Amino acid sequence: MSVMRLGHINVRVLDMEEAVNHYVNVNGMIQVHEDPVGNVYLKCWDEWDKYSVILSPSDQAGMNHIAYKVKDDSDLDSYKQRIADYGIEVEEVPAGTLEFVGRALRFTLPSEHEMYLYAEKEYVGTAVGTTNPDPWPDGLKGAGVHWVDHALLMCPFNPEEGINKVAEVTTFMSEVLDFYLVEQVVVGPDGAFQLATWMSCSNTPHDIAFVGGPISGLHHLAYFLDDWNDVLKAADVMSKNRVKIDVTPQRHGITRGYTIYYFDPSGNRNETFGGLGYLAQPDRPVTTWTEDELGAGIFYHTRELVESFTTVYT
Amino acid sequence: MSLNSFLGMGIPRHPVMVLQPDPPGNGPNKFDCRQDQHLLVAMKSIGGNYIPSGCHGGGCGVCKVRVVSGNYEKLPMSRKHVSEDEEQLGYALACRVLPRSPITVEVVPKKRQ
Repeated sequence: MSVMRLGHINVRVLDMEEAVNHYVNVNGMIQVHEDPVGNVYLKCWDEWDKYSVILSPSDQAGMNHIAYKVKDDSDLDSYKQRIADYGIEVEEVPAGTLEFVGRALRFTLPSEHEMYLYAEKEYVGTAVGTTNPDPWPDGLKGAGVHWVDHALLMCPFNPEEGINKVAEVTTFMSEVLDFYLVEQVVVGPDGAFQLATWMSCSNTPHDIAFVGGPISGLHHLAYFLDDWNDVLKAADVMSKNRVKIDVTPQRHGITRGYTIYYFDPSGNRNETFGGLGYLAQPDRPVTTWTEDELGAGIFYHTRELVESFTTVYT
Repeated sequence: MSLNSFLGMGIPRHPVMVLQPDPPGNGPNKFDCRQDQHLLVAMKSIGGNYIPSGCHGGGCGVCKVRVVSGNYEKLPMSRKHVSEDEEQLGYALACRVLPRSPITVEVVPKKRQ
C-alpha cells in the first residue's frame, strides 16, 4: 500500500473571516498561508507538512477537492496507469498547481468528488519538533486538534433506480487505490446494498468513509483528539463560541470513536474524533452493521439515527 | 460587559410567526427573536421545531423559508439553495435571517425546493 494518509481537504466558505476564526480559535489550527486569490491554508500542531485544510471563498458551502499523500513519487506513475486502466480519466498536474505541493494526479471519483494524489508537500515540522520533543506545545487554541483524521463523503444512492455510488466508489478505492474495507452498513433484502463504508489505507479504522444520500456532497471532515476528556473540553469550547453542535459528545458504534459533530460558520460539518478505536489491518474481518441496528452503529448511546445525519450536509 | 448585555436584555426582540403550508392542520407558531440572533437560535432555545433545523451556517439548505412580511437583515447563504431570483422574492434560509421588525415566514417544504 502506498497511499499513506489524507493530506488535505479544500472546503468552500461563505465568509472567510468567520471561517478563519472558527478553524483557528475553535478547532485550534494554525494559519500558514493566504494565496493571491484569497484561499487560506491551515495546519494542525501535530502535522509536519505545510497544510491540511484549504478554505476557499465561495457563494456555496461544500468541498472542492480532497487530496491523499502517497509514499513515493514513482507511486504516482503506477496509480496514473491503474486509474486510467480502470476507465477513469486522470490528469497529471505540474508541481505548484496545488501550492507547496509537487506534481499531482487529479481525477473524479465514481461518487463525483474530485480527488488528488501527490507525493510531496513542503515540510515545516510539528509544533514540538523532532528532538527531545514535549508531548504538546504551549499556546494551543480552542480544541487543539492534532491532525485532520478522515473525511466522510456523501454519495448518490437510490437502489430503486439502480444507483449506488457508495458501492462503486468503494470498489474503486479498494481495487485501484489499495484501501481496504473495515466496516460497512448494508440495507435492503438480504443486505444487498452497501449504504455506507469505512475504508483504511493505514492502521486506523478509517481514512475515508462513504455514505449514501440524495446527492453527492461533504458530510464532514474530522480531526483527531487523544481521549474523552479532550472531546469534552472541545464541546465546552464550541458552546463558549456559540458553535452549532449537531451531536454532542457520544461514541460511534462504528469505529468506536468518541465524537462531536458540529458545523463551521458556513455549515460544513466538522467532527472531533477521539481515540484510536482499534488496530485496523487488511486481514481484520470486516465489521457489518445491519439496517435495523444502524442507529446504534452511528450513535452507540442513544441508538437512534438523528435525521440530520443523512439530510444535513454541504 | 454589563449584566443586562450579558443576559441579552436591552436588545430588541421581535415576534416571529411561522406558517406551515402542509400538513394543513399545523397552525401558525410564534416565538420571539432577539435581533442579534437568527431565527433558528431563538426557535431552538425554546425547544421549537416549527422550521427544520440543520447546519445554522447557511450551507445545508434544510431551513428554507419565504418571508411573507417583515423587515430583516441577511447573512451570507449558499447559492446552491437560494438563487438570486429567489432571494429577490423573499426566499431565505431561516438561519441567515436577523429580524428587524415583527416577521412572518412560511416554511418551504423540501420537495418544493
